Amino acid sequence: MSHKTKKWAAAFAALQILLYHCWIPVFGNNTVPGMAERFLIASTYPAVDMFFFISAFSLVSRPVDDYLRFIVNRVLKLFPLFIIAWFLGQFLWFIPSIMIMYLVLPPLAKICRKRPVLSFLLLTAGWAGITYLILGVIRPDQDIGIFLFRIPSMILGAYAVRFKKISRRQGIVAGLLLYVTGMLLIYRFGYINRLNVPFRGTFYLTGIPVAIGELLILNALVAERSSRLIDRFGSMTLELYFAQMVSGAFLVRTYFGLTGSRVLTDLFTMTTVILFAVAIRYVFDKINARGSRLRL
Amino acid sequence: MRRSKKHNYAWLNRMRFLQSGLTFLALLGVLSVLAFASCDTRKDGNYMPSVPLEDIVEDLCADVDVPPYETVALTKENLQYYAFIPFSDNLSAVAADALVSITPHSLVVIRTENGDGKALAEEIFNNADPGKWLCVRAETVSVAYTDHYVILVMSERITADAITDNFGPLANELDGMNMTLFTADNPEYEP
Repeated sequence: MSHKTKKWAAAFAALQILLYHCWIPVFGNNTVPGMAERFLIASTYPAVDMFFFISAFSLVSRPVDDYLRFIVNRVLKLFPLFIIAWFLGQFLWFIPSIMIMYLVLPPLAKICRKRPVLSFLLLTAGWAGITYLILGVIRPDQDIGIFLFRIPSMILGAYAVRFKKISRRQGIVAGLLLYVTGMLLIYRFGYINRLNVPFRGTFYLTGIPVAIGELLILNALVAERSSRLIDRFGSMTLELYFAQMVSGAFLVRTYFGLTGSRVLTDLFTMTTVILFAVAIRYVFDKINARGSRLRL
Repeated sequence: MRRSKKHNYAWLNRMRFLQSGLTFLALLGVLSVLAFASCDTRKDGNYMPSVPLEDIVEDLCADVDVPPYETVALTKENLQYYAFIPFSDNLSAVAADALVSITPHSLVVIRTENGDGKALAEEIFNNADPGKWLCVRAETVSVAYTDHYVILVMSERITADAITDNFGPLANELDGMNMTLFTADNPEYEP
């Protein structure tokens, strides 16, 4: 997977998550377009799996030189927004989840590269054991499944490093097959009647084929294409996540109250959230730049 | 003087007319009684619905600061998702969830013809999932019921309280009885 693909994938995944959270269906719920629209929006949750897959792939394919420095950098990048969101009443579960991956995967990256099949089997067994222990024995009230059932995406991302390159045609065919299969699985087990056996959250696994399928298709279509807009969008996914979680509900309510129009509400909400994310990124870049100058 | 035949026929016709009129009035009276009787919402045996569930949703949300929502009639395919109970032919229900998944708000109104509101309410309350929106959770779960109506509210506490307060007088109107309320704050919610 090329660096350009990762940017496109990150941008595409971020957009899907934004739609999942903040898009008001435009068509009526008793119409065919309306039902299709609702399903497509509800089936964007695999975008989170895409993020975990890409991150794991990157961590394993490019080893981390200074592990401690890497962790400190990640904490400094991720947790300011997490803390601010916490104070604003939002728990951004994705941030501690990906931080766990940053802690665990880099030390295992060498083994994953050298012994991919063995590490895949061991990681999968470890995941199954931990999941059973937490969800079957401890049974917390909190919804941990939203993270535990995303770990397979990380394991697959780490494992995918062994696949050097596939042809464009192979990528599109495999991608489409996985995507269609995944969407059928989501429709049956991840949409209205969610699969919550043996544990609550099992249905998240249905998103994995969709996530990988989309990645393969994107890689085939855009591997050699670059876009400054996509680069910028794909590099501010954290800010976008923060912006929508903190302000999305308020924006939807406000704009819908003002306009009474679903289309206008969608347009204004999407635009405002993106601009908010751009502003946050600008502020943090300035802070980081000033911090760098002070250190020098 | 003897009456002519013509006069006799006229008298007969008048009597027949009178008879028809009385019969008609009697029938009308019986039909009226039956019609009024069928408007009575309380019958021995099954409850007969008369108020559209969508109207009940509007009444429940009257003067409550609810997020923009969409009312959906629940069917065999989606009742379990919204109401956390299996579908049954004696149930009719609507859901009024927030338009976007970032807002954890759900109101479900269920009407049961069997009068088993209590049993349904207990089942719903035990099964309700305030985290069904995946990334966000409702602050509280409230279930209120009468014999024939059950409402499930998953939302912010203040919103849920206002909606269940509105159900109080409605319960008397719709079912001639006071409502009973289950409520549980979601311990994971961080205000």
